[in-house]
Amino acid sequence: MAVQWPLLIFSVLLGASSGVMIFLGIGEIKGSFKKVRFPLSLIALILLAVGGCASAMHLGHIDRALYILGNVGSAFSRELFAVGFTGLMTLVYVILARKDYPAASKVFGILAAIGGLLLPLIAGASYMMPARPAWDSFALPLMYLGTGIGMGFVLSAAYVYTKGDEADKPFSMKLATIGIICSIAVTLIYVIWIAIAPFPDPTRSFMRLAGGDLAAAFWLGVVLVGMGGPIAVLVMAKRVSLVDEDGKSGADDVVVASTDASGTATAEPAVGAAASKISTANALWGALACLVVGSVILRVIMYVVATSVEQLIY
Amino acid sequence: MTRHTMAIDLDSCIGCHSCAVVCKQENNVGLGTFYSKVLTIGPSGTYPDLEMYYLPVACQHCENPQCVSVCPTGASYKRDDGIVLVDHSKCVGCQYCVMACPYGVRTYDQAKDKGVIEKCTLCAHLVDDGKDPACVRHCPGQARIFGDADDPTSKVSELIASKKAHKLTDVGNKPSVTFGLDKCEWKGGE
Amino acid sequence: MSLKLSRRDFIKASAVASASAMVLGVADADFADEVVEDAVTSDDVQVIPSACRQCYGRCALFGTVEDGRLTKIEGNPDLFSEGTLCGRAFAISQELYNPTRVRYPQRRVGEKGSGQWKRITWDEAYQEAAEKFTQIGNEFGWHTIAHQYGTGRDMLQFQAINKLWLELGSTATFGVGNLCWVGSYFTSQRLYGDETQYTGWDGNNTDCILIWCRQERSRGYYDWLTVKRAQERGAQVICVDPRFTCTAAKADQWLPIRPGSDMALVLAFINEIISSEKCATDFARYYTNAPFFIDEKDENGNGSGYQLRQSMIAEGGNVELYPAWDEAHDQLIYWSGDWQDKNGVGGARAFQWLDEAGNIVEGAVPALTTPDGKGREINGKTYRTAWDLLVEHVTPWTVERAAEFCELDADRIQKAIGTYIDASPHACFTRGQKVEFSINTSGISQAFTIMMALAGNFDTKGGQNIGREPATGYDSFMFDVVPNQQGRMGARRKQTAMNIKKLSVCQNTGYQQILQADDATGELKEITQNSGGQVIYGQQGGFGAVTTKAMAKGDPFQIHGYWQQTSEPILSIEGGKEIIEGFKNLDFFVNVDIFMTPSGELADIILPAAHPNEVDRVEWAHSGHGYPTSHTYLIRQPFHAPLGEAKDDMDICFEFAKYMDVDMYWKDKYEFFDYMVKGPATLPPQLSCASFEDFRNRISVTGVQMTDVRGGKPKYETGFMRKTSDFRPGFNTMYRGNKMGSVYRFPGTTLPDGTQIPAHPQSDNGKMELWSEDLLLYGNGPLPMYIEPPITKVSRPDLTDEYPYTLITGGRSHAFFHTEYRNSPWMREVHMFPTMDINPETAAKLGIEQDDWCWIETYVDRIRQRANLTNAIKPDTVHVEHDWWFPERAATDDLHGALDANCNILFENNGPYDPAVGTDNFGGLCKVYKAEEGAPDNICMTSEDLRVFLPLTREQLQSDMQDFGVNMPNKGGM
Repeated sequence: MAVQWPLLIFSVLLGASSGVMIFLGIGEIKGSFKKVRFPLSLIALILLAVGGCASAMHLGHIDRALYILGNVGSAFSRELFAVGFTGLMTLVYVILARKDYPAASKVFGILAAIGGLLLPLIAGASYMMPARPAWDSFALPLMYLGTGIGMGFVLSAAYVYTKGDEADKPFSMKLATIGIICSIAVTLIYVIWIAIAPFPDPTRSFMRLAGGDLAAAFWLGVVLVGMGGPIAVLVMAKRVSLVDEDGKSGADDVVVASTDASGTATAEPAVGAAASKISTANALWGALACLVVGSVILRVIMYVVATSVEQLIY
Repeated sequence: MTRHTMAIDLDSCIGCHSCAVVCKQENNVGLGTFYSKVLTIGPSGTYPDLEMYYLPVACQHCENPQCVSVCPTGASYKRDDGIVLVDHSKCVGCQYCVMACPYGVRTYDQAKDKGVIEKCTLCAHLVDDGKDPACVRHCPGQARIFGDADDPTSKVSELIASKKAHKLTDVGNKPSVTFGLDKCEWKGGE
Repeated sequence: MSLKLSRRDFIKASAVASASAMVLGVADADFADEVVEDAVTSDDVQVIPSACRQCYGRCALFGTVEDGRLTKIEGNPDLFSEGTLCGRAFAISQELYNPTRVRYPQRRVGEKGSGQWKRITWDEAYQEAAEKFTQIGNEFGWHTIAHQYGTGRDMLQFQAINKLWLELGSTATFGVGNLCWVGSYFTSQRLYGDETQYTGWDGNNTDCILIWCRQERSRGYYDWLTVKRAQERGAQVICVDPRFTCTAAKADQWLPIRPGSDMALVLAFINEIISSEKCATDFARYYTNAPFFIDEKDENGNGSGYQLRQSMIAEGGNVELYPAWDEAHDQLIYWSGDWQDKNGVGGARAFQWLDEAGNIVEGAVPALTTPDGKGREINGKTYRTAWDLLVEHVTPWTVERAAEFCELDADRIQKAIGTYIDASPHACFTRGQKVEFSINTSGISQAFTIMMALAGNFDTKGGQNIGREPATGYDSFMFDVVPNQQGRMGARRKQTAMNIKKLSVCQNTGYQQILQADDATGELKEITQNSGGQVIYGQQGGFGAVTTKAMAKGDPFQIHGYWQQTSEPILSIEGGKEIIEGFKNLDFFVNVDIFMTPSGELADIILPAAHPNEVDRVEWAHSGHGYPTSHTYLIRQPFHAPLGEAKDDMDICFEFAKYMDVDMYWKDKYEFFDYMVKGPATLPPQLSCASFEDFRNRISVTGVQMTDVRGGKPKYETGFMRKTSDFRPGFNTMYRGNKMGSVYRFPGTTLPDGTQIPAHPQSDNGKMELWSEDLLLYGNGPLPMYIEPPITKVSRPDLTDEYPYTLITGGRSHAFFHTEYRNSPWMREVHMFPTMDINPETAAKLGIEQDDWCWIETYVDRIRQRANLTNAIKPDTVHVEHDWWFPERAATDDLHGALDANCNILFENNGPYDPAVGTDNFGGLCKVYKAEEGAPDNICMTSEDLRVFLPLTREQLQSDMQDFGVNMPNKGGM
């Protein structure tokens, strides 16, 4: 089917938003990220709000929105509830985050994090329809969650590295690493689902991704950028710690080269150091960009391969 | 209980698209939108031992319509007599039903009544008047039969009983339209 | 039934409709009450019973007209089409209110093809046309004005156009039927005086239907109901077609014949039939000319080559006596063909076997063959019978040879022939037009006739019901027959007929080289064929190619004026580019049409024709056969008055006749309609309508089957085949020289090379001619010969390196009717693009994928169509669609895209042609390659694009008076 851009944007933004809230929720449990929790949760709220607005663009008749709860059992309605719940928890958390209400912040942080865990799953689950074999698997909500965690965690870590406490940095980097691994793992799982989905058809086959009209999007967008890019960052992060141990350069500095065509990152420590020095923070922002690109393109593919069991008229 | 449905004798269908066009007249369907269309299946086999049939397609008026269960507003609904309809006054155009339909026979019509879902109504307005749907009445091959599947003496039931009966792929939606095909091998799902 | 209108209701409804059809919007409360629940109860809603003219089928329908505008078409379940209708019928409203319609007379004000027009009045148009045509007629001769009518409208309209222009002395025409149908019509008229090949098959009672190159969804779709029911009864359906069409898919047997090789297969059918027990030898013996002796021409040129007459073997012998051998009495006997009682053996002796003394021989058994087929000596010379020659001719055409020629599996052929023979005499045959598109169309039609005759299928239950039987006994031809019988033929027409050899554009079609198979060896040999002066179908001379040459090249004389009515030769005739050249040469050109068309853009004046559903007609099925279809007249009456100032084509002819001082005999169309529906005095009263208005009220009249009238006996036994009303058993061959035949090259004529054709009377002796003297005179040869089409892999191996693929054209599309409906959003949506069918294997070789636009190129020209990869066509063969143009392109943009996808420009128009009817060759060799440039520019590519053709609203129609021509929708390219 055609790419539903409003829904796509919604799913990317809600994923990132959820990931940020899970990150902060973990922080609440661990007692970390106090310095960044307000701006980050505000970002999460804005992402969710913008995403929600984008999704409304999808409707033909927003004027009839009142009818929407006419069938509360529908997936659409569940999604709406989940957005409402998570948004509300996030909003409360944002309000609390300005002040110092540790217990309340902890409760709402965890509630918002639970919302953040459930929302991508619920949003993704609404696509699980037997009519669209490429969607009809838990791999899809899992993909929504995993890519959301990836984007949210890396976004949060980047923010920590940019504006946060020095002490929070290593933990945030750990979470970012986990996020990236999650994102790559769910991407792989979802691609595997496409390959093994029932009612096989060339329009929704792995071959279409590997060698068909979607090959460029898949190999460049999903594999190289979406998966390779963040891996490169992980590798770099490792080098950063090595460099730190050697005491050769500042903790924040790392020598990076852009990812090359083979999809692996190469580091060139000594050569042209001045020109190519960038910070870990910037590397994480770069990884976020890669994850967003990867997530968007993966979703583009997700729509394009979502042909109905039989495409009789449309 | 009445279960209105259609049975299509593919051995009689000559793929002339009359049904697709009369439907446009009867239901004032806009350009680019089709409630009903005819596909050519084949020719399959090795030349010159070939088989071919035509498959008229439209909403299958499923017994367990996924389009109805995903509809957030209740605009998509199933009547007691089995006909699945869209109440345009309630439709918000979210297109979940388009996604949930296994056959790709619903569309989001931007051309006509902008922003709502269009699909075959089985000419419910004629059925309520005791008439056959327009495509049934005019089919040059007299391939289309409309009637009550729960009435064993109806022409629909007779056709189903007299031919190798097939249905489109069922993913739990239980399509109600039956296709009779004796002359060739059915290429679709059962 | 969904529509619960009783017949009585309709009669009332139609009475109201008729009274108010021309004055729309008349409220009638009673009417609304009568029309049961189907009608809207609005005051100005009418449901008008009428007929469809959107193909040959003439299905019965109802139009719902609300406030003077057609809003709905529905099928009429009470007549032969059983309430079914195809898409084209439902799209009638899109034709009626189409933005491309011409609604007011127009005069061209810019260059030819500039698309610049200015509205004029009817009187101005008629005046100018009358002046210009008269000027041309006086200055250059009336034969330099060509006229043309299309297949598009109807037979009654054709009669009016034809009469008008024959009376005016016009000779040349592009023809229309000689592309199709006329070959079989002409031939069967010649051989037995009626038509049977498309029509007249009794599918209702048959055990086998042999369908030759015809699709079930090309026209008159209700025929399929007959075929389907026959199959359900157990009848076998055999389809012969190079393509795996809808018919092939439904058939029990399919013979995928090599395009153009049909004759080999028919000859094998005949051969097998002759050697089977089923062979109808009694029919051949008593009702055909098979027992007649033939005066063969020997190598030295001795012998006349004609059927033997007594006058040729005995001094003072009678020209109307045809010798044969009486097996019962071992004596020479003579068949008297003197039914006109002009040669002294008529009266009671006509159509009898006579002895030497001229007495009727009771119990004569004419011998089909001579001893050993070697001949019988009569007065010192040995003669063989027509049967001997036929048998000798077809015997080498074995199933094996047919298999080789037709590239078919011999077992498949054997099985098909066996099925047909087994089912005979309850087997029937019907054909499509594509068999006709060849230079041997009259020959193949003769072969089919022999096949049906010898299988014993003529006028049997389930066989061929010879001929259509008009419901009231009178058909459209009476329009011209009646005045001629009364001596009302105009002087100029008579003079033109007498001088036709000098006035016909066909005068130079003399000899042509063809590849003919030698019977004995099957070897193809180049021979010189005498092309017989194609004078057909009411025309005094002309067919597409020769009229084109006359217009474009002045050969044999320059054509200066042209009247075209509802036709589009640029699209439908070969050599479209040369036709354009010809049209540009014309001094004056009047086009009468419903829509703006490519050739219309080259006219000087355009007269707006009414749509077929805006006029009154007596209508009948031109397709669809067996009782009652073939015996029904039904009303075609207007849904409303013609839009703007458009007029009925017939009315235009009658009106213009007044300006030209032509005696049309009939006061107006209604006078003829009245005559036609009244029928002869002998008509059973229940079939006779008091007047056309009475007929209108009755909606339809279904006549009786003549076989029923005469106790189930075949018509040739009971005299119903005789058009002379003498009711003698036998057939009725067409008179040579009458309006349906040649006045040009008959016995006594000098051929272009100076040879005299020996004079002798036409054989008109009540026998079906299996061996045909007439076709011999036309150049075909007396027996059907295998002729290889001029451009095939076999005939032109020199071309195959560059043009390796066999190209076939013109398979009918269910979305269109010839050039029509390219401006219909609904039908274009069903079939958006000109489509080339190509086998996936061939496509893969060429790197062509589904929906790629491709060039199809012959040694003449190239066109673009979109590829459809399908197994329905043999590898290395491609099929392209015919009559494509793009009304969405501007006039200045290649005349509305008339040359982009028009397959007929792929063929040359330099012959050879069918010697009798002038059919050209429409198949050949081509190469195919992907069009890197994609689709032609400025054409509709999506449903959205088709919005430009949506019907004009009432307001739009009222606000645009077409003061400066038709505001053509366009996709650019101005």
